[in-house]
Amino acid sequence: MSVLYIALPVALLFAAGAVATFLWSLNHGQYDDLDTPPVRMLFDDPPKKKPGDEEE
Amino acid sequence: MAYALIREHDLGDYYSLRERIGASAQSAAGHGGHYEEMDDATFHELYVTSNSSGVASTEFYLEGVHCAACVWLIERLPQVVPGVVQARVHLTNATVQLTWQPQKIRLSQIAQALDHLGYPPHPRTNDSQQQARRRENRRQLGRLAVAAACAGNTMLIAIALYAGMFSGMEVEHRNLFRWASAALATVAIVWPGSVFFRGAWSALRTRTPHMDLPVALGLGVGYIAGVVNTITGTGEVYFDSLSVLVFLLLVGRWVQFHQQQRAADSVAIMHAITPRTARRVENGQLHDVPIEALRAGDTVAIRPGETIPADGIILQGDSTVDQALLTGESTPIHAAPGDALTAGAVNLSAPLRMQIEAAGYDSRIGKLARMVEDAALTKAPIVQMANRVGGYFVVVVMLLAVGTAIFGAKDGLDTSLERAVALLIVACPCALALATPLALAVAQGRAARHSIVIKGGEALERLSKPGRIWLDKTGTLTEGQMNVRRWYGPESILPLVAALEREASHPIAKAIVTFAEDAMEPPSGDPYVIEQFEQLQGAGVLGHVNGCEIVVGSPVLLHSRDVELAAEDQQHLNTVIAEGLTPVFVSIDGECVGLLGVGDQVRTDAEQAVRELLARGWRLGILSGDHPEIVEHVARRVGIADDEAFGDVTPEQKLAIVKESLQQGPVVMVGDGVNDTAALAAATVGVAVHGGAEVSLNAASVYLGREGLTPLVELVDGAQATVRVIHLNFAASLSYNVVAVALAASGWINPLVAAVLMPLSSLTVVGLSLGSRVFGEQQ
Repeated sequence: MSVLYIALPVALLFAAGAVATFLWSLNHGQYDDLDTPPVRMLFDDPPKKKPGDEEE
Repeated sequence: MAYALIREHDLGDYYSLRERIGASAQSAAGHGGHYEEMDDATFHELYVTSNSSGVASTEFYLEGVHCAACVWLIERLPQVVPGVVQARVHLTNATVQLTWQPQKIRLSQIAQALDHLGYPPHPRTNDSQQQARRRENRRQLGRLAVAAACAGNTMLIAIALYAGMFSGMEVEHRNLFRWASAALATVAIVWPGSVFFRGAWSALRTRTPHMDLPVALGLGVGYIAGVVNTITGTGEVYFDSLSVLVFLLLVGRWVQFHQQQRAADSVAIMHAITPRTARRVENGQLHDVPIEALRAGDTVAIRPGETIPADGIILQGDSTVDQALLTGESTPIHAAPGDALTAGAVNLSAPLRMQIEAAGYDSRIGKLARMVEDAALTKAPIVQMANRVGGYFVVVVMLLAVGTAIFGAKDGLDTSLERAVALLIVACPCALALATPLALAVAQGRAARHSIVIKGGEALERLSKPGRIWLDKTGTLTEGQMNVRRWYGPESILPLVAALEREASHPIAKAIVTFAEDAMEPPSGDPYVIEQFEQLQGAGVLGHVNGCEIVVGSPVLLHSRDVELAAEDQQHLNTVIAEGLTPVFVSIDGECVGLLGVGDQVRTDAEQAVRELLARGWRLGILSGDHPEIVEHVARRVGIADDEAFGDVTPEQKLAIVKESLQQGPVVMVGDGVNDTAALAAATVGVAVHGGAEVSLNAASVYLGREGLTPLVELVDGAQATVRVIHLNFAASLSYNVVAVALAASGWINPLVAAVLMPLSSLTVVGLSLGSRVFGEQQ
């Protein structure tokens, strides 16, 4: 019996798992906005607050 | 105000960021509202959700969100406004998800801050459209993911099969691989691929040519033949090509979906035009009530500077009203008791009391909003070029397949059927289906960098051939602001005039003050003493400045003050009127000393843009709500024929004219005002110009983010270039198909050749689209 009979289904199971994970994240709204995040990551972080500063 | 807020909190980067991104500097002027109604318990019940840890959240629709810099600025809200926990912007929907601590800050304060930044917020009411869009997006991405996984894995299996084809492989293993790829292809065809069969079915039923037809044919025949061959263990299988096909086609489809425009939403339009609250008179006392609470018969008080909340009749007060928003008329009109007012107009100079006749959707603006929605919905969808081609394609491919089966019969029935099947698969127009969406997506992206926002890719296809363009006047051909254009008289009296006009609140007065301040030296010496100042509605102003009696106003006013006009003055008056300007005389102590011509400046690039558009074969016309004389003058200035320029056109008539010209061919409507909105939505392509009302942006499919009309010429050129790229893509992908079909018909094809040819043609199309110079040459 060839090892292929085990290896192939296992490989396909991995793929199915990946697809399932993607569909899960999709249905939890992680891909609802595809226009803003690519823009958002270009912004610099705000300057860190100095320790002595009052809370704004 | 917005600038001060930005500076104060060290957000100065905003402007540099904007410059870097190349966004147009919008006028960051808020409405200056107080938003008190947002602290109301009923408001919170409707729109706000609170969680146990004491933070509340809500979603606002924001006006004026168009670019990346806006996202940056709004998301810095927690730094600027203490108590705000988070602000997340959704750029496509122009919404912000706000989280804040109610014990630290009131919602109205946050709303005010947003307003000051130049993004007046509105509560999100009708969400169904947005949700439907989100569901569709998720469905499409889900299909895409499944198709990608199936395509990837069948391709891996196919590599093993091809290797076996050359170096030999045990039949047992070969069958295992074939069954595995059959299973994957089944998933790809049944789940994500089902859209093509549904599309093909509806194309057959409605007898409209559609790209899905040849696609479904290729997929269906290929799949059935593959399954039969897998079961019998003979012949070729094309599962890898089929699943890659499904994946690539879905990519094209998703790109197309993603670039589609937001439909005009009457709710958003109403929100943007009418104020949120009105002050109702109840038993002699004023009460702030939400706009929805107003009914016909109510009496409301309107302060100067406020927007009129509903249609009604004036009971008390004497003021001027700016109806430019609704009618496009550039000169404010005089409003006295008994006059009718429409919602959306702005009360300019004095308090008014008004009895409401129609509110909400019954008001004229409400009906207009409904018309916009209807016009957008009933617009006939154009049959895209790809789909037109698809109709012929399926016939040709069918004939070829039948021909191959018949003429190949001499080599044996099995072989000839095999060839026919191969032909149907390789003829599947994958690149063809990708050609249009890709070229449009690239053009949209490039155009956006030139501050031209194209909401629906179709707009480009429609703009590629010359047709009719209707232009609005106020704000489109002209700058939309009153300016002093002519001045006859000595400069020395300008300071006196300015001193007097500074007391008045009329737009013409403001124009005169600006003009005088630009022309004269900085004031020196004693300030002017103004006595007995009087503003006569619709006529002018008069008063004593440093003891001299000065009258600034219309010829009628001067006449009523018994001021004699010299022959020279009369001549100047005629010139000013002939130029379409409003004449304003100046007299000192009963003697006429000067004449001002006030009007709306024609944009500097308007004439050249009109000339270039005419040269490209477009028919240009003007539709304006302004006086026919002024419209005629502007038409002559920019070089549009008199019989194509219409003045005194109501929004409803604009819509009617656009609909009428639609019967003769495609119509482009270019405008900026609320009065253009319905026409913008109904036209084949609606183009909103820079500085236009928010609602016009919603209704139009193209937004020109730069001043002037030059971008319109760029848009037309870009559209032409885009369609050229689409044609090139078609030519490239069709020639691949021809080669593949020829190979298949002559029996030279096998699954490996098919698997190489198909992605290659798609890659060519991608390369051609990205390499094109659409919207590239300008600037």
